[in-house]
Amino acid sequence: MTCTELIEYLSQYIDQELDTELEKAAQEHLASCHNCSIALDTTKKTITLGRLALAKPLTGVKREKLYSQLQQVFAQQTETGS
Amino acid sequence: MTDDETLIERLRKKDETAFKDLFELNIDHVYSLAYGILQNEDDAEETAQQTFIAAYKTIDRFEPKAKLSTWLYRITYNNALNILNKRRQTDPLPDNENESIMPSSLVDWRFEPEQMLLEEEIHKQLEKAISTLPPALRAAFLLRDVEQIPIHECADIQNISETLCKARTHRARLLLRERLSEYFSERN
Repeated sequence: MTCTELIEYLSQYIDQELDTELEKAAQEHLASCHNCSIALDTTKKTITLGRLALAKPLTGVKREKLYSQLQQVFAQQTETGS
Repeated sequence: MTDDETLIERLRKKDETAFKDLFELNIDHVYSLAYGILQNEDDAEETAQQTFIAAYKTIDRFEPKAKLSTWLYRITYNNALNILNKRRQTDPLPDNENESIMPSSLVDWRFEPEQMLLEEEIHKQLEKAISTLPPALRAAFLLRDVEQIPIHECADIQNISETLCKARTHRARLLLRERLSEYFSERN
């Protein structure tokens, strides 16, 4: 497997979607290619960073305000029967 | 009867507590996806509001083939794209969408993600990096890697094939990795 092929298959490798033969070829390439090992490690870290840091819950006053606004809309629609 | 089926039945009967439950179970995911795509808190709140109103109005037409959460994600995704369209902020996918991206910045980040996130600057860099992606790639990354939704549901939410969904997720991961690597490279 070449570096270009490894990068093409990188997400499938991370997601464990490669067939046995390709997965083995990827592992063999990674064992001997420092740059691709870094690409794999840093891509995995990118995914973990995203999962841990990019979820943005709606909290506090804004959450309460939004629910209150929705209740008003629903109440109006119930009254008008729409 | 599944939890979804029970909630849908209560929603259709206009059970007063059912919408509260729907809201509490899903608001964080709805808002998070909307914010991630729109990169603006006011727009994300507007999208979340539109999403729950649409759900309230159309629950009778909901066909429980998909999960309730997937349906809400789909409404959120479409509402967010509509806002982008209205504000002429659509950022079409590059023509070379399927071209592979060879990483050019290959530095060892050294630290584990949990350690990195103790630094406020890393949060800023991550926000900055995702804001540079086209909306379609942002959405793919947010759904697959932040919300951790299975690929077939991600494709369903975005109304695209699984193949295209995988390609967008892959491209988004590599572009984000590259942006973050540039930061770590300058820092080392």
